Amino acid sequence: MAGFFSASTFRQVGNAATTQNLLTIENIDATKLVWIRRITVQMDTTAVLTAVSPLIKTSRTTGVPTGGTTLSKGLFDTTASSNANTIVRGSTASDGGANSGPTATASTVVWEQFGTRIHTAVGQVLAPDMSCLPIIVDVQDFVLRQNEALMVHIVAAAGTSNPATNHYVVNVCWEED
Amino acid sequence: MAVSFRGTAQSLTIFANDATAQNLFVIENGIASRVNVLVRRLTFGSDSLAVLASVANIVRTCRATAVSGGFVVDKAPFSGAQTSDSAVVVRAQANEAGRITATAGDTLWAQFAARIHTAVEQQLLEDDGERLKQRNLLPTIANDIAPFTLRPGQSLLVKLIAATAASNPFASRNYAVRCSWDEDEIATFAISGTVTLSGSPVSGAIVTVVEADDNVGTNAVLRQVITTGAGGTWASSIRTGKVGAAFVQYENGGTYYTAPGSPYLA
Repeated sequence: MAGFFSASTFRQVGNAATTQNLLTIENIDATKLVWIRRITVQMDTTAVLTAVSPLIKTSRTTGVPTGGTTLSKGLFDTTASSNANTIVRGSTASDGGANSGPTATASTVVWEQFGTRIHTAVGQVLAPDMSCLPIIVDVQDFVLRQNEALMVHIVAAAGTSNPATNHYVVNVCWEED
Repeated sequence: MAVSFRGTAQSLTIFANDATAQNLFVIENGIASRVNVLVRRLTFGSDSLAVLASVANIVRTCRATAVSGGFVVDKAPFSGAQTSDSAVVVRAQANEAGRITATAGDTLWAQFAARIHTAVEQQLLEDDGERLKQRNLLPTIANDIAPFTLRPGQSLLVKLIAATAASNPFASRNYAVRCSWDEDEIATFAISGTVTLSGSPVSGAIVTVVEADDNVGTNAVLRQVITTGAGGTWASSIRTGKVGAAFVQYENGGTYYTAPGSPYLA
């Protein structure tokens, strides 16, 4: 079981609402722990937004997430296998596909980042990594115990700030004991 | 075990392929390898000469099987005293040639490539990837905490996904991929013998050593071909956990001799 694993969402489009859940990772195992080692979001936006950019927040959740698309888990070393009780969810099963969750209630916000926006539609558009947890978690344990989850979600000032011309990819890397 | 090689490899400029999927780069640890490959850093750059006002392309990293094609690129050691295992092969498309064929597994990590909404002003192509930890194709976490491991017979693929073929136009979009890795030696055990003819050791006999997963020859690979010296002795090694076998041929005065092959032995 022990080892390092990663998962990546498909490209998820904005849902034209003020909130949108992008990725959850949950641990429902009674004895095993999950340590988040890196979690990032990238955003591309093709439409002008002259209002404030959406915030991308990382929160623990109240209860265990449901719904969405369960994502495949990549192995850092094929001698390890991920615990079936570690579950990663995204909102779509294909690039740009329809959003279907995941459903979860955010509790304490752990970290946040502004997304990106283009004030005028000119020039180059970069999509840098935006860390969804402080990068020290690669060596300082951020722990998910039984029935705990972490969620990356959008909080937009208005639904029009999160249109379907916003695109998100979230990556997560974790360790299991 | 010990690190026997630490080095890098990088692609030439890769032209886009007018398609929604394109394999860019592979690092492959061949089945005959005597090392585990620990991938330390995997990044890319992209340069767009054509405007793209729709969503950017995505570069994804996956394990892969059934890899073929591509150009084999040079492996550059950190130290000239080190030599990479010949079974570790890095392949990349070069310009428009050397397309890579592979079957991708689960996605490990993903990044948007840059795009230009309108063709004006400076283009930042690499985003200072090393310092800012951008354009990573594997998660950047402290070295040695979690090496990404390719065992013999495994490969890592970098592939591009475009929303439409028009988003990945030939010669107007260019990519470069580079990788840094360590090679960690795998334990072996020794095998050896003496070739004799009519009870006398012979030099010049050819001993062929084969290594396999099991005694029915699964994943059999040619390990070594040895010509015996004076005294007829030969020696080789087999990976711990594998089995080995040796076969002998000897020619003297136009007459060929052979000996029954040994069974696979652990």
